[in-house]
Amino acid sequence: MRGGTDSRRLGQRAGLRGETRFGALGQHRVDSWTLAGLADAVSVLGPVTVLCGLGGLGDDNGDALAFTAAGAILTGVGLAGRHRTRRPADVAPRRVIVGIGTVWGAMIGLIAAVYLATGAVGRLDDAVVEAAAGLTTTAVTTLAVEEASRTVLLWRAATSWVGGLIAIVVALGALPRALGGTALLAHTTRDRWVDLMPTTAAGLRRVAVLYAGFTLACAAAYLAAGLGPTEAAVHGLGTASTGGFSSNADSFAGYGPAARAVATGAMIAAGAGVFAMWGAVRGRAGWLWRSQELRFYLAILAGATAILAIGVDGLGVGDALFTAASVSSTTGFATGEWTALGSTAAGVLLVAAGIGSMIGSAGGGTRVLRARLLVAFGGRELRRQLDPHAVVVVRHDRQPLGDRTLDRLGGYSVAHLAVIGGGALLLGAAGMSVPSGVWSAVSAVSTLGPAFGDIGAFGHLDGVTRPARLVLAALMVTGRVAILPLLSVIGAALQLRRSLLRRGRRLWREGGRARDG
Amino acid sequence: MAEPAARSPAEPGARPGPASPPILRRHRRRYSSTTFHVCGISLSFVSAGMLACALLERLTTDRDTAALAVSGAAAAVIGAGAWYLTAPGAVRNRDVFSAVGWTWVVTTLMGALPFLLAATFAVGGADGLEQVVNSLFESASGFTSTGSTVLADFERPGRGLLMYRQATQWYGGMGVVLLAVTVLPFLGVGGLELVSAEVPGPGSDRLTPRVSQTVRRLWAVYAGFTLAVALALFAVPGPSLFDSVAHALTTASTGGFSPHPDSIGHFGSVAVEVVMMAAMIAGAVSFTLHWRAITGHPAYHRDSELRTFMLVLAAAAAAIVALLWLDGGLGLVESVRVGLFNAVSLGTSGGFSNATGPGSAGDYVVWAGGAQMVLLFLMVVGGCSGSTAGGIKTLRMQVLGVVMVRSVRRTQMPRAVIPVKLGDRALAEGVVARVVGFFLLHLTLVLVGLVAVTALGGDFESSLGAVVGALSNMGPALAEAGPTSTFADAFNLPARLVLALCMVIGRLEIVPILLMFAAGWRRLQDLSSPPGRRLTAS
Repeated sequence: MRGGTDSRRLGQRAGLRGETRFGALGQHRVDSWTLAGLADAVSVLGPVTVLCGLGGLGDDNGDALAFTAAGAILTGVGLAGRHRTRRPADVAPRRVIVGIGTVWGAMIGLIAAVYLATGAVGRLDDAVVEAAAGLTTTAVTTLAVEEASRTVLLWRAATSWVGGLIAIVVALGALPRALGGTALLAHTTRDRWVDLMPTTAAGLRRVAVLYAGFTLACAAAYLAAGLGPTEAAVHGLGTASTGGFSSNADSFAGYGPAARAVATGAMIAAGAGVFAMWGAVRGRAGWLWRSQELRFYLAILAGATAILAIGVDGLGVGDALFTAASVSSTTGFATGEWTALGSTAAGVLLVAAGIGSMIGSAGGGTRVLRARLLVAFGGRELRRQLDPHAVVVVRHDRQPLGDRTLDRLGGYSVAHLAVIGGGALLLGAAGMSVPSGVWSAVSAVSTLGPAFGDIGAFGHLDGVTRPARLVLAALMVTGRVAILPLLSVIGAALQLRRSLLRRGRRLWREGGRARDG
Repeated sequence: MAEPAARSPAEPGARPGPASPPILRRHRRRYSSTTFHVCGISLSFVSAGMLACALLERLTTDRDTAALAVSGAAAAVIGAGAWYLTAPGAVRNRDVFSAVGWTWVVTTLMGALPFLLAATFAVGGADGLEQVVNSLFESASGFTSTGSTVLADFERPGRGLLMYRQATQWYGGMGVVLLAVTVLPFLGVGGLELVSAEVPGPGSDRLTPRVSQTVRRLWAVYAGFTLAVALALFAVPGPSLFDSVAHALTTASTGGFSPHPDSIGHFGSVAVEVVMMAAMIAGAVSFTLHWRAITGHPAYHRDSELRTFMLVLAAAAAAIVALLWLDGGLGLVESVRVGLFNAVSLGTSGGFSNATGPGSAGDYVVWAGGAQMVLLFLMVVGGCSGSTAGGIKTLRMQVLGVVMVRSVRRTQMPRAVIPVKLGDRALAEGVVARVVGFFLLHLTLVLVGLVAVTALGGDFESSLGAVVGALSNMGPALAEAGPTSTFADAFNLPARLVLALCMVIGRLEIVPILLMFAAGWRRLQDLSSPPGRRLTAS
């Protein structure tokens, strides 16, 4: 029982309120949603790190060995954690949401520690920024890519791959559980949802296989397009996860049309998400065509491509589609510096980046589904202004959405925009100009990475001040998964303030009575 | 403008229109059109201003007298004709949207005539089309009390025409007060519907039970406020009588036009800036609150919107001053002076500037990015509901904040029923949805406008500032469209037209201008449908 008590204490110290139970072999297991999630994440990151270390052998053996050792430790910790923890069957929504935030924070801390421990990054703040950029699939970096070893390049891409996987698992497995009937994803994609995820566990297994298979397919296509093995692996990981890390400092600028064509198609597929992939794998063309979200996504891509091709001098349709796909899917690959594209591109790409990819993908942004529903929401309110007594129902894929779901959508959107606005203000205070600050905030919250202005198309943070980098890291994490946990913290703070005020008032009244008496 | 030619029987749900004046009852009117009727009234009012400015021009510089007189006469004839020949029809929402939208459009078109006839923009080889577009832009900026300008040569127009330019903003402000306090709450648009939801009864948004009385009192407050600002400006050293009146007209309306190219920087006087700041803040506060104070029932301290507005303004001003001071370029006193003035100017959607030239301390386009970002934030938020200020409005921002907090609490308690409260009262869900819908529409328009203006050749930073500024009726924007330059320097003709449209859309709180075609569209549908179905088409 001693071990169990220790585990429980550990959980309670981490604010996780765990419960100790006996496992099948008489082992004590901690029932903690957060610790179990963290153990799962680490047990994926560990072997991936080992593979990156082994893949780097022969290039810079010091880095390779250091990462292999770090990976082995992480694997051990992850497996031990999985062995000693268990997901409780019944868990409060608040605990799930706080757990999501905790897992992300802990993972960023772990990755930053690996960067520091292996000597790949020298400063703590740079390590945190690099870890946040990787895990949130945001294509910005503090590293000098030309000087980085093969191991570091592979691992940087691998962190974004793990981050992408976590993002999809959280979106499909955890959030619907926390949000119940108002979870947009489960509510609006009901038939596809049931088909892909008959049960949560089976669905998540299918998703993992799809994700891994898509990554392998991307890497194979890059190999076929003429890229070397390391380049193909790095770009395959970066494309499937919408991470956008490249093994070149100038991203896709040095590659030919074949590689760009592969990247364009793969980025569009990655931004479309696992439901579209599942439909394609099962050969359900009608199912795909009926998806309003997919049609909206393709319409945004087509519109952005058309505006770029027509409005930007010297940009061909292929490069316009590449850029639009990169930004819409929030991947972040680039074929050239964006300043040459001009203001037209800055305007249209800002909108595309803000909307982002489809729900169920590893990409970021407001998401195409939400953008479509927000347009429908605005239209409903306009119609109501005209006919105050009209009953106007907002539908998605022929399913009516309840007021509560729309209400949550409105609140989420306001919070999302508030985060972007607040981030832009902070970036301005940290030394960025207005266009650069606005673009960088949108890009970071959408987990895109590249931005017009100080960051540029290739995502180098050399021209960005250190406080601004930390703000960017916070925005990436907030944009990736933590808007709801962040809001929960604010909610808890407000509740605390209210209870303190109430207690203060009560004490004041009691003091007054005592004085009167 | 396609309105019904024949009087139609009252349709279900329609409210009866006001009774005709006795003098007109003897004549049987042939046309029943709320839109034409309201446009006629509006043009008649504007014509009086044009003729008064023609008189001023005749008595002073006498350069543009003919242009003003001809325009005034034309506006009077058209306005009086439309007023006399039509009667307000049934008042349904769509008719009110149509009337409000078309009134601003027609007034803007007619208001451009004096500039066009006086060839105000015939400088630097400008062709006819450029003069037309510039005249329209200046008129739209005036009647929407925005304050963006394409006027570069301030020596060319006479004093009467400059005063007319100022008066367009005053008219715009007057229309906005009327719109915000009486018309839009009736439609559930203007933001004051929130106040009426908070404090039900005739004492909140409507000053009296009768709309006509309310309008008269509001205009009395507005006129008295303008007079007070003019007197205060005249009392401090610097501004002449002409300057005082001219600036009072555009301060009460939080417009921002000045008869001087360097705006308030022309005077170089702290006293003038203090008076202007006080006046701009007063202009950005709900006129119903001013009326209550005048009638001996001040409620400033009880108004949560005003408290929030002042808090935001103070915090923003403090942040700007700190950033300017810490940036190292300016001393503390100079930072306070320019930081405070510009924060108030843009936070109240005034749009005046105390820059004395490009690159001077008051020229905020050369400030650090953080300070400019705060100004951009203030431009978006705007002033209070029921005032002449633009922007999303503080009251709506309060509601959006509460909606956000409710989302958080629902995350923790998914099944809880949590009302959105403003003060102690819960808002109806319909009102909350309208506010969120308005915010989304505003955001959509910013993005659409940004894409349009940048696609038409505008630089990104200038376009962003200009679109946000136009929709918030702010005036000067960022970068090339800053306080020491004109919009003619920053944007080409099509972009200027897009921005003029944005100004009108923003001034009318977006919805009316988007729905102004609905009445005409429904009529067309009625006409094209078989006769037996016409009665059910509403």
